[in-house]
Amino acid sequence: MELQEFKVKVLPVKDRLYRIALNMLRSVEEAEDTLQDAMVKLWDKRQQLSEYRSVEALAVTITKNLCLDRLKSKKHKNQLDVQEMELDSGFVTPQRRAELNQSMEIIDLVFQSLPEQQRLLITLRDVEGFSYEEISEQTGLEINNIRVGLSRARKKAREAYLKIEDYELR
Amino acid sequence: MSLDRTKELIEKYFNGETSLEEEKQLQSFFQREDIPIEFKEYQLQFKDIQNRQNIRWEDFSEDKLFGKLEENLDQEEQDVKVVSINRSTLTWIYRIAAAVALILVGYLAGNNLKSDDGLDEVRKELQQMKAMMFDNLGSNSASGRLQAVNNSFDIDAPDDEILDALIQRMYDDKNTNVRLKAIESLARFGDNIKVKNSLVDALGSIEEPAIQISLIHVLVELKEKSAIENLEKITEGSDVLKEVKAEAHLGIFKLKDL
Repeated sequence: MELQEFKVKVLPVKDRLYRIALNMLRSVEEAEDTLQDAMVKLWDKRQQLSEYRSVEALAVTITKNLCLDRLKSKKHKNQLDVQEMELDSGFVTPQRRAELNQSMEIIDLVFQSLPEQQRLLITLRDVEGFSYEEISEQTGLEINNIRVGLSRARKKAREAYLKIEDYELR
Repeated sequence: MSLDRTKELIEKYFNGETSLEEEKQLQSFFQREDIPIEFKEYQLQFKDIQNRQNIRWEDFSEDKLFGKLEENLDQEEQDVKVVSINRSTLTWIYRIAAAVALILVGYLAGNNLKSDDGLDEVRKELQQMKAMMFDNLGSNSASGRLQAVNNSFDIDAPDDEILDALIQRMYDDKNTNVRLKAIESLARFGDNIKVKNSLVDALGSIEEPAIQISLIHVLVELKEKSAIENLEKITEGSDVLKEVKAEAHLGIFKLKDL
């Protein structure tokens, strides 16, 4: 496969990959960096592309894996990860909270406070609208487990969003 | 969508039981401006999902996505080049090594030839010394012949001709000093079987006391046990000087004791 052909195949899914990476990593720079790595890996595996239903499926899988790897190494490096931050843990000061109110930033913070597996499932299902079969292929999880995981993730997210609503009402 | 249906879908949603189609319905429901108050609490969650769906890679450029890949491909190309350079460098190294080996072989071979020359020189020198020695050996004066025998000390590896000449001096020279010197010179080559035998024979035949004593000393020094028989003859001889007999006894004693 020529590089040009490869690009043509990958470009249609770039936004989707970008969203997944951004939802997982939160930082634009990290998301872009991860996607560059993902392209290198995808190019190396271009021979296997025929085994996948689409370039998209393999690209999503690779991107997801790289994001999780990055989060893992980040956790070791930096314990003060966004995910560890509880919204009401005092890490966010009341003043800062007021600034954050109704902003996308705090909503994003809520989303990032979810465990990475739950964030991943919500991203793949609710944001990207993948079928359970597709998510199973991408994550290697059983469909039943995906359902259970999603249920937990959505409930956990709801709790977190409710906290924001509470602050807003106060 | 009725409120009851919405309620039902929300419940299904949180249990992970909604289909993609049902989820779409929920999402479009929460896009409405006039969301019934009882569903307000879910609004933020679905809004956030919606916002996330709308994210695009705004400042996208191909370089941002494929930059590393292209860099890697360039690097690989360069690596291939480097490898090919390495190969030709390697051939050059082999060539140079071969050249050095050739030069080395040439040098060693040359050295060998040279050392052959050196050997020739030694031979030449030996020939000259021999010629000089034989010239002197033919001299009428005892000192000339003594000089000749002395010259033989300079020869480390004498040939048969020289040894024969020395043996002859030992037996026949008119001058005792020359004969003694010849024995002394021959003693240096005591390992030579011919020299050894001639010394033993000389002990059995020469009757001059000074020569006999010298031979006894040399043979004892060489630890030559085959001389014992001749030594015993000397001790038994009637017209042998008693000093010689004493030396012979001592020689036998020393040789047997060894």
